[in-house]
Amino acid sequence: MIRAFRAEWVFLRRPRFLAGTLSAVSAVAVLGTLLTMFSVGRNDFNGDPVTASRLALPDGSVQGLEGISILIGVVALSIVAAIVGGDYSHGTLRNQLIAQPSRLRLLAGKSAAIGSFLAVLVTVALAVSVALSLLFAAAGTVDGSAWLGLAGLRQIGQAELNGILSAWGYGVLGLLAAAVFRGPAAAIAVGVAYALPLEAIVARISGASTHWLPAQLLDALAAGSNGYSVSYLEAAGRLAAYGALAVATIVVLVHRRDVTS
Amino acid sequence: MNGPATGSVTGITNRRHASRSRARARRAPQGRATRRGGDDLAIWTDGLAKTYRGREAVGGIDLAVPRGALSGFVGPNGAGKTTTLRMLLGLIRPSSGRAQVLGAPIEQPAAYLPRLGAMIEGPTFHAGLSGRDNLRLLARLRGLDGGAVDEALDAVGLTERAAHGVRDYSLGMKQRLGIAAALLPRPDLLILDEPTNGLDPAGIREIRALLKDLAGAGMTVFVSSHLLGEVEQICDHLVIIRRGRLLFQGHVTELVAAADPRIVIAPERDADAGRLAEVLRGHGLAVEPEPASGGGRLAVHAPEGLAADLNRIAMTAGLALRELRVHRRSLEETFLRATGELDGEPGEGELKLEALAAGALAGAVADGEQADGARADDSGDGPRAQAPGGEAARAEAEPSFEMAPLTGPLPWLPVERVDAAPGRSNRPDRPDRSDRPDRPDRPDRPDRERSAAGAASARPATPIVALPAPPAQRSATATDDDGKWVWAPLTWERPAHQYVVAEEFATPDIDLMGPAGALFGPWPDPPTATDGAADNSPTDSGPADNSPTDNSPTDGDDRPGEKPILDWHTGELPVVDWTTALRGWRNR
Repeated sequence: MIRAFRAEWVFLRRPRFLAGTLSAVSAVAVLGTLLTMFSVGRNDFNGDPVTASRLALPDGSVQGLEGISILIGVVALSIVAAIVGGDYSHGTLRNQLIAQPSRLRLLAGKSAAIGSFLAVLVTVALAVSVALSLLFAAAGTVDGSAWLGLAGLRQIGQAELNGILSAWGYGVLGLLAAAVFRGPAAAIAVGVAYALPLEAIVARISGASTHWLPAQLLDALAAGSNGYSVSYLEAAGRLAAYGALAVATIVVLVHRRDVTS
Repeated sequence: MNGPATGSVTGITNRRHASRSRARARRAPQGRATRRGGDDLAIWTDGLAKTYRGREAVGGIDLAVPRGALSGFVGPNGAGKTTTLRMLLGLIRPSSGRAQVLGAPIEQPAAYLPRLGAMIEGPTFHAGLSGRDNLRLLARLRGLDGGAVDEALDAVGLTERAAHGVRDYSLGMKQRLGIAAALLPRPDLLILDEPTNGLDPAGIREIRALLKDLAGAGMTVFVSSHLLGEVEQICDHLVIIRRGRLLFQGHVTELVAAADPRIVIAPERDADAGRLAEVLRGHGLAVEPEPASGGGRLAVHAPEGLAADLNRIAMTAGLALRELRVHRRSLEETFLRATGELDGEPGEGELKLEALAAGALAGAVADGEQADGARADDSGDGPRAQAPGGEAARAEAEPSFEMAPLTGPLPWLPVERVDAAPGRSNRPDRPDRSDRPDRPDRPDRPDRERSAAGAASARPATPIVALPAPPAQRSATATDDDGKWVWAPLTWERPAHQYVVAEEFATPDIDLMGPAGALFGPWPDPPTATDGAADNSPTDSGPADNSPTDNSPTDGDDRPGEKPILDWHTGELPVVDWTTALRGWRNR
């Protein structure tokens, strides 16, 4: 597993890949922060009012990132689906399986490497978001005095953890799609279509479904359940169950299916 | 392709295999199947099959790839080569059958893949990574250090371009990088799937040289291709499949011998073509008009070694030749004809090759049983050297190796004598000839020179007799002038019950030499017990008593059971004591 982890990082640290993915999450973080800061006095995407006093709270510096956590999730889903689906369709997986015959070890090491990479992405996105929020605070748009206090730092840490867990959740979704479709295009298309429009439509039709739909629960987890009807623990518990089911499915698919490409 | 691809191959392989037995490394693969897990097989399968939703991709093939072989895995596109290789590598699960790679079952790929390198379906790498980083990724997966990467890059001549992105590589460079990836673990077994696909001629030559070097250093190389002509040039062992079924498996010479070599000749005047054909047919040669060239040309089904004799026969008949050239079908043409691709007769051709494979494997089994003796495994677990089609195909092949009736004089016997001196005696009291300058244990002497020596000599006083061995052994026996039995490897039966010598043979103790491609036969009727000459059996009476010299025409002793045979140096007809010969054969 450690071999597979180290090997995967050879691929993940490609300069162009790093630049592309980091740019993407940074752009998403900037977008979320700008939209949040410029929404003061108006309602956000969910119709909730955005006020300066709300942003002045200790968690105000991470509000921008939490508001667009679903976009970070989609980036994570796409990255995982592209990497694993690409390994299937491009034939690099067969090379790796010849070098590492244990499919489960390869899967575990690869997942750990990608998971650590997603954590880096979330960290970068959070850093960009907090930094931009501090710039707005310095400009006097909002009061950021509480953000760098102990409570504020704790909120940043909590947002980091929640963001990483959410990204991993989306990553598992991408991994499942890649294992099922064994190609990046189909995996990304189906994964994103499910996470964004499909669940959103279902959630608007049935509000109670937000307590059960995986992507809705991942959003709630990323936001620390702030503003969501489902509690943090409830979301985490259900996501753990979904995750276990998904991982079991992935393990069976990867272990049992022929590698034909 | 840039740079020498083979510069350091010997280095890497020598380091890898320094401790190995050279004898094993150089051992000529025989396509011999042994019991399961036998040390002499790198790949063994038993009824390995793969079916996709009712469609049979591989229909139960039995492979036996010897260790140390440079083995070609040939079949047209869609024949099932890659599917078979994927099963061997543990990438896909067989629908049925068993297999072992390097002695380990394919259900446990971790047991053998660390000692195996492979490139399947062409090189596949991350385009955004450099060649070195791609190898580094795979090296890390195998737990290898960077030294292995440098070694592999050096082996394929890619060191200078290693830092460049793979997306900038030419196809040839990608192929070499793929081979480098396969070489990373310094494998015992190298499996390459179509390694020369898309390469230019220079690149193909480099890959060929690389594979030869690897195999020469002791690595087992199993290389697939849809081009038989391609593997013909580098492989010493062949596996041919078609539509998921095994058509042939064995030494390349088995198939080469089936190439039906022809000599195209043309008389000075076209009008003499018919007469020339009659003369040649009178010597038992198969002659037919050469359809492709016309102009009175004839195609004589005979090996290259007979060219001079054809000329001699024609001259003796008063016919001058204006053209004489040798045509040997390529392995690919032979294969295509055998499979009916050229004639539009599929099925029949497959039977031909299957029969050939059956005979070859039957011979391999016989050899294996003789050599291994008690290793025979009655449990049924061991791999069986079954030809495709099993016993039926084998039974179909074997009768062709029985004695064929002799309907006329033996036409020619191209076993060349090089020692016959004018008027020399072949009697036991003849002087020791061990210091002769033209002993046949000098295979480096050109055939032409040998022929000249033989032609210059007087008619050999002693005929040479060649007989087919029992079918399973696929060899011939021949007597020398002392009545000794020697062995000549025969691998292929041609129509009219002629046998082709697979490889040049020479015996140092007797004066017998046969060139590769020489033909034996057809054979006479086995004489009856009343033919007498029982005392002539070399096993009964010893060499001195049964010296064929006693039966030479100069002795005027034309006994029953003797058949005339053409002395192909002189055109005269010495006498063969076939009873002696056949008794010796029966007593084997």
